[in-house]
Amino acid sequence: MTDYSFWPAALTAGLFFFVLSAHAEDDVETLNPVYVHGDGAAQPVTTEPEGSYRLDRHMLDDYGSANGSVTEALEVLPNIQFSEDRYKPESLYDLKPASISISGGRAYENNFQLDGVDINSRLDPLADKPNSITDVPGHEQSLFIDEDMLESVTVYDSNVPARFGNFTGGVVDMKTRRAGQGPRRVNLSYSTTRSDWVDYRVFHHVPDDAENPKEPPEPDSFKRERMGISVDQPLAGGRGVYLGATRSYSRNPDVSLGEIKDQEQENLGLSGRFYTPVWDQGWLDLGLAVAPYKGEYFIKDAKDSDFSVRGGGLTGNGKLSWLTDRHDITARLAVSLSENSRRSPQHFFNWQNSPSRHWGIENDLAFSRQGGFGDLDREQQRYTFGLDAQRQPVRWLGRRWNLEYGVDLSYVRVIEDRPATSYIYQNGIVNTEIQCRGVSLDCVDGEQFFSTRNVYAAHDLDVGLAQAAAYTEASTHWGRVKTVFGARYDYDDFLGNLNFSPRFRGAFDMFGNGRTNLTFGANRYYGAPLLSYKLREARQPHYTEYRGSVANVVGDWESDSGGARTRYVFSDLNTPYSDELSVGLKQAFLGGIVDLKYVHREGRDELSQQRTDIQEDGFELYRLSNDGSSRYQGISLAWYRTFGRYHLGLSTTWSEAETSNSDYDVSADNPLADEYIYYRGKRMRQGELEQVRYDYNRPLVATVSLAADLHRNLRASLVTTWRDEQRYIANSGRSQKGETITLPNGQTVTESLPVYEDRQRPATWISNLKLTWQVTRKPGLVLDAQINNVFNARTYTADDGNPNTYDSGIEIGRNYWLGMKVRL
Amino acid sequence: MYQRCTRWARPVAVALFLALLAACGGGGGSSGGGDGGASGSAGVSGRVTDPGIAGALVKLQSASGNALAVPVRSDANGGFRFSVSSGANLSGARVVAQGGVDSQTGQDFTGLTLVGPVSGGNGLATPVSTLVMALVDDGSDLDSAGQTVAGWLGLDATRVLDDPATDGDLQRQSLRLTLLGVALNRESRPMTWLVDALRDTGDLDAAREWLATDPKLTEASRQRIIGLEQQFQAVAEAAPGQGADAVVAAAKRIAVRQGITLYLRDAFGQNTDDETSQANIAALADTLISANGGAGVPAGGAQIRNLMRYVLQSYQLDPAALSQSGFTVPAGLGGDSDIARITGLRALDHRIPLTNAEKLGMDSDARREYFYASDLSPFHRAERLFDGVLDDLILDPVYEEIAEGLAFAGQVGEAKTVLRTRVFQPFLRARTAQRIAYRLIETGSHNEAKAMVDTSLSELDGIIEAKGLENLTAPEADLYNSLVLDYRRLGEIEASQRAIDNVIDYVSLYEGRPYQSVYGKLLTAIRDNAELSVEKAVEQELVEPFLNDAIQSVDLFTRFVLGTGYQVRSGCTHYKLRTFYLTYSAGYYYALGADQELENIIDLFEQTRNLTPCNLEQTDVYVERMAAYYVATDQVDRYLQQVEETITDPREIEDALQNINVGIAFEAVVEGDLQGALDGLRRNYPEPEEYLGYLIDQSGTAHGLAEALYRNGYVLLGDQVRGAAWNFYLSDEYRDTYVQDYNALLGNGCLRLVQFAENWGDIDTARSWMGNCASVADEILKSITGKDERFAILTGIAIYQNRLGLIAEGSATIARAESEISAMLGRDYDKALLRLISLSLDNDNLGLALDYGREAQTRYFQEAAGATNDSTRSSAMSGGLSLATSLNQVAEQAGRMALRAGALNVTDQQNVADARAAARDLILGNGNQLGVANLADAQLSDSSRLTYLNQAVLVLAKARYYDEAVALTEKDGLSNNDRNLMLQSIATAMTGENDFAKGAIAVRDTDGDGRPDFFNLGVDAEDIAASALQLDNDLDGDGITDDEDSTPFCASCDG
Repeated sequence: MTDYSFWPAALTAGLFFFVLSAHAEDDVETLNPVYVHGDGAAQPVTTEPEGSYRLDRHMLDDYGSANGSVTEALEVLPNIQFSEDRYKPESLYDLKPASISISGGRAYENNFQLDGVDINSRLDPLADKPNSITDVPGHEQSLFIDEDMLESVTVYDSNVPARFGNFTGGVVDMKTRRAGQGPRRVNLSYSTTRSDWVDYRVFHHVPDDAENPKEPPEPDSFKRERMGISVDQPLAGGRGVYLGATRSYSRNPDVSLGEIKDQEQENLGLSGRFYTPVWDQGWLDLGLAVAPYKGEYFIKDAKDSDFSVRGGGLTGNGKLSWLTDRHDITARLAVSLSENSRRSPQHFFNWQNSPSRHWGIENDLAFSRQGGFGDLDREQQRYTFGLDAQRQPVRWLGRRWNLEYGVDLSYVRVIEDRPATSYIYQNGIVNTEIQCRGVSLDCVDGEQFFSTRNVYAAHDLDVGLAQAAAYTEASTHWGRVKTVFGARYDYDDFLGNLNFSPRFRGAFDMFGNGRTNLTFGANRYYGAPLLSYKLREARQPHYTEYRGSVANVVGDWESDSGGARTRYVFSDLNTPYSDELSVGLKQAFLGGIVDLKYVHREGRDELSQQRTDIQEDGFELYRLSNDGSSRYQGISLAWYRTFGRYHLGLSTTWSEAETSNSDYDVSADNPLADEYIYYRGKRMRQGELEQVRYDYNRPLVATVSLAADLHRNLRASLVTTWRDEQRYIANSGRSQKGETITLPNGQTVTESLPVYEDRQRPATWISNLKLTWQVTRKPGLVLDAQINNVFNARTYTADDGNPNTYDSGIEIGRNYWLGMKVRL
Repeated sequence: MYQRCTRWARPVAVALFLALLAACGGGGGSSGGGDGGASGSAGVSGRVTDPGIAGALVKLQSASGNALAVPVRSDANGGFRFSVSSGANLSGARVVAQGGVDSQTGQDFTGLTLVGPVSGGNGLATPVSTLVMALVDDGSDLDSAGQTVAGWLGLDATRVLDDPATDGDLQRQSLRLTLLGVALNRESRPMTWLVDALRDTGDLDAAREWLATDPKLTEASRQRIIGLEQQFQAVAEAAPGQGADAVVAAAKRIAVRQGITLYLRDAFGQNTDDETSQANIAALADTLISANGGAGVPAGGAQIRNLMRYVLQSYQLDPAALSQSGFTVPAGLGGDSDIARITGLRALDHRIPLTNAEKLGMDSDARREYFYASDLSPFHRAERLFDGVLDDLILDPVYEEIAEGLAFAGQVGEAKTVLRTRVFQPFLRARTAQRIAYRLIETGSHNEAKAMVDTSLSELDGIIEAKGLENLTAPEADLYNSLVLDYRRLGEIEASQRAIDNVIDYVSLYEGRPYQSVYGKLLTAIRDNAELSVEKAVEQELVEPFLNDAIQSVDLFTRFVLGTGYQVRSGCTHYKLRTFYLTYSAGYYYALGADQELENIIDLFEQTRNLTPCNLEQTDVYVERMAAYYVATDQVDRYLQQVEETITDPREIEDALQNINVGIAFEAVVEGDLQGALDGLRRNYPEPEEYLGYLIDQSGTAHGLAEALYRNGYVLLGDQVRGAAWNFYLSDEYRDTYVQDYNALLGNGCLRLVQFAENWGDIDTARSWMGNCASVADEILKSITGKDERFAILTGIAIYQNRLGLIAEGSATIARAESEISAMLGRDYDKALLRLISLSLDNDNLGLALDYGREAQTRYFQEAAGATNDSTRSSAMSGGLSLATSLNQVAEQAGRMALRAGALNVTDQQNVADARAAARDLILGNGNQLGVANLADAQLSDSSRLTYLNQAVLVLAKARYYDEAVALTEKDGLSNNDRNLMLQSIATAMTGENDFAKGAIAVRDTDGDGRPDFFNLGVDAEDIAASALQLDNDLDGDGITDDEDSTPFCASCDG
């Protein structure tokens, strides 16, 4: 860390906590968090100064998505934004959970916790293409946990306690179901959807005089299902065991080489928990969650191209809690293993059409393509040990202090392995007399051979990351003011920075009746290091080989110019951080709490990509830098109330986010900044365009959530979200003549400049309805139906508004899930 | 199931690791597979010998003829070695050697293939083993084949597969076989002829006699066999009873003596049959062999001529002395170290003086023959660039150009040999044959041309048969089209139909089927080709054969269009694409003036639209594209009927009617109502500039009235409309409307009218109007202060003045334009200089162009000196390359000037040389000044460096600095392929050398004085008389006329 101005603050904080502990006197009273309860059920909002929202099992039942995605259940909360891709047709059969932004952070800047265990992926979360040569699709979560396995989800969007680190967005703290806390229950569930149950809108515009007009796009055909079984068994002596299994599966057939083939995804979730009291006042909670993900794909119109992508993994954790005279202590130990791996044919061939390579011509294709890009394995191993202690309140300076402190130690190891060299063959040379001298892989006697190939050499990379953190918080009341002082130290051996995060939050009970609390806070959050760049740096760039023929006999491969031109490096980086100021009001209102909050964040030292000049070795470097920055401010208003079997929730967020770069793969100094473009009739440099973030950033989002019993056996929940319109600047795809320039070959031409234009994303108004019908009670049989986009509204994911671009696209309208649950 | 052992398993014990590895199938054992043949290699070695044949292309083949290794070149002793995959089956394998040069006798094996068996990892290919293997190929086993050959040659059957060096008799017969083989090397399979002759006669001498009268051989081959008799017999009697070394030594002496004898006969008509002469010749031959390090030279080739010329001139030896007693070999000849250098060159050495009897004088044919047989020949030089290269992908295109060039130069035999022995890829072979044929047609060699077209067609048919008709590509279809054109030029109509059959079959494959993009790609390529042909024909003013070529190309394209399948959209089966492309066909026929074809297309257009009911609706937008063609064929009423009956969309009707306005006016003019027509058009086009356009030659989908009249033969009416247009342009209305719009006044006004007049052949009117245009420009310039705009206007005027031959006016305008650039800065100034260079060239002012070039050069050097990173260097290099390209155009313009004037003055000659030198300096730098190549080397990006080096090489080669260009290819850091591609660029520049202009009757002008060295083959006296060109009487410009000059192509050789 190079921000030395923080060292005095760090020392001061350290001194504060040292003095506090040295002079502390025990105080027998305890102060627990206050959750305001409506009519028995938990509310998402507390009066505590921390910015948290908790969805318990009841709310998850009401608002959880039929597809099992945890993040979609969070739509009812403020300060959360989804990507513009959320309603794209692919989302219907993509098992990966929707990505979210919390308080303006990027999707990969959140911290997902499962039972206190970090389940974030330090692999490349931005990689999203299954058939990339060098990447395996990643996601910010290393395990895709089915919402059905959870007891609760708590989201922290501001004033986040010091026990959480490694984020600059927000924290999603998931708790799995506790074992054996009630009577034995066995649950079975099944739900499904398919393309026939989706109303699609197809937009297609072609110019009348197009030489070869494209056919309109066709919606993907798919089928998706989700099933689960769980057993919750109390045991003697206060013990309990919970076992659960879920399976999500989707299949979307596609036409490849004239045949219909299935692409499949499967996500399994196996969860087991065992709970037992130990000693006199202690308990042991053991858990194991296994969530492997598997996708079966193929490269369209390429023969023998089937490949599989495997992700997910397992996490095992044990939590031991016990009470001492002064402390309530919890020790955590966890191991998690995850992977993003691909099994694919080793080489890819762009064959020319010829007598033995004829599938291309038979399917009206210019080439007969074949094969894949080779196996690629990425694995992440994480070992975590943590100790959290809550001390009995102590008195100091005449006040009673609640103390909490702990440590986190973890080691993450990431491995990337391409077990065999892969070749991407190009430039097939047709020669009806070619002799291959026994080489059959990339040469066909009497037909053709390849003259060029890109070589992706076998490699085995192994990088590690050790992290250590210590935190402490002390809270006390100053009259009607509650304050929480916190501090967190983080260190990792990847960036080599020791980071100090001060945390401070408070609440002022304005009228002393606990109904009106003014909250405030000032915090710093440090992000987590991503190992992707370390892998990229270690990976050798691909190179090119050439071969010719001699007297119609194929030659040997030899090195040629070409190949990769870039390398990735990083060094001497600071850890990205975000400074937050917040102020809010929590007002008891109509049996719930109105939560009005303003959050301002300044992101600093954010990771961005910087393209260097060409270096001595001839490569351009993509250097990871701290040149990124962002600014976020948001005002949110939320109110929830549960009364009896009814629940009503309102949330709205106004926000504004600016960023120098959308993610770590984009330069803060736009590499195209010097390129000329046309915008609003002017020739200007691209760098002059505004830097507003266009994804995860609707200016105003409002959600109404409502759950109620329509009948004794029929329950309905409705979530309606309105997202304000958004202006954005986009490349129109058109070009306009610019100035006359001279090309490297000496040719003088008139430059063709891309035309950028203002576009408008219209407002959307999407309502999702869930109906649950309790058919029988013993055994319990429930039928449910989820009707997404119940009013069949436009999602505006297809850009059909510009007649000049002749865009085509598909939008999803109303769609259905049907399911049933059996409780034994 | 994953097979890979995960890293998680690694911490286990070593023993377990090994077990796991086995379970996992060995992990990453095979990383390549694509390198097949290279791993686990074994060796096969051997020789190609007669004695040792150097530089032969040696292949290793399996019993079934498949290659087992990458072919190699034999070393100086004929040795070779292959790396063979250890799994290769060598049973029955053989080595096959093509070409090469006998290291002892100097005999050239080009065109010959020697074959020998492989045994125990050794292969030996000799002329004798070749006979044996030929019989094996015919079904004999090795032993009986050996016995048969031994019987033919009178040898011990156990020795026929031995190295000839081990036995005198074997060596003797081997050498004799070589003599016969070389004599037959213009035939397609020389050794097969030989085997057949031996099979028929059973004896080598009888075989020679049989071949000498074989009517199936070409006359040239028979003559060579006949001419061989004496040497053949002499070798048979050489060194009887002695070992192989003695036989070889005797054969060398015989060959050199024969060579001297032939030279004296051919050059001086000297008979040397007498004993004295023979003794003297023998003495001289022995000395030459000795001076050549013991190596011989073949009789009748360039080497013996070089040697004899050298000896006669350098040692002042009178040829007659060789017939006189008392002759002594010149002192010092035996130790002359230049002899070996001279025999190393397998072309005529242009620096070796010709004897008086051989001087070229003003004989165009002799000059051409000498030039192309010499080391100056661009084809010889191009070939030498690739002495160390073995790659068909690089070499085939080069040899394609060489073969075509040789054919053009009259060296048809050599061209055919190149085709047969150097071009390997089947399609390139087919195309090369076509290109040779095209040149032969040009030079009037119709029979040989027909044979070449047949060869090409046969090759191409073979390719299509092998790869399947459905895999036909655009280049192949183009080649078929070219062959059709060739047959038609040769009057072979039936053959031309046969040539196109495959293409028609391809179209038929898709007829009646849905449209496929594969078909569309081919259709687009054919269209592009047709468009090029049409442009070329128009550029050549629609003269033959360009017009016929273009019509044939458009016919083929139209055939493809009519084969375009149907499409389905929203339940409508339609032929939108077919209809659309028919409008292209119409446009092409229109441009070619092919009215009958155009009318036919209009019929097809209407028929196609009516193929399905909904097709009419789908294609109504295309009707307006056809308006001009209805007008051109005088079918305006028919067009209006189409619009009325087949278009329903009111907007489309309006558009369609808008496009026929000119047609309606056309009819009015023809019916005598000129004013009515003009008024009608005026009403439809109230904008003056637009109205003016429609009066003459409005481009786009509608055409102008005057143009329509001219095209339909109403020349006088066309003149009237054109005149009306001019008057309208001069009217106050037009002028007042566009007072400030110099584009409307000049580019779309005056200059457009000038160009229209020029296009329709009325140069006088164009020149007359041009004066007005200059005046208009002057008026405009009075109100314009911007230097850029002033410069643009003046250069626009200068372009037209130059085009119309108004040289003096153009020169004055250029000077005015120059005065405007002083205020320009940076890149704008550089661009203006390039523009001025171009204008000066068009003004035939090479000196002025060079002056501008020098100024630009100085600016480039300044920019280069200040360039410190890839970006600034790239900018400087782009400028430098542009300038060098412009400077190279000085020579091109000089060639065009020479064509017009018949000569270049001394100043312009020097200008050309200076411009080339300046281009060289721009690329290579000069002293401390950095050239493009220097900057390229400083680039950190390999790709950028390569890009600029590639261009630098090309520009340097075009400036004729070939050695320097080759030196650039030898820079470090380039891959072999990069280097070879650069050499390919250089070779292309070499083989395309033309000191005049494309299509001229001459191509070479060694001294650059604008007078040709010789006329092209096939150029007759009539062509020469019609040209301003006359043969140069001093080829190398050294002041010695070619009647006297013994080194006519070498100015520096006479000093």
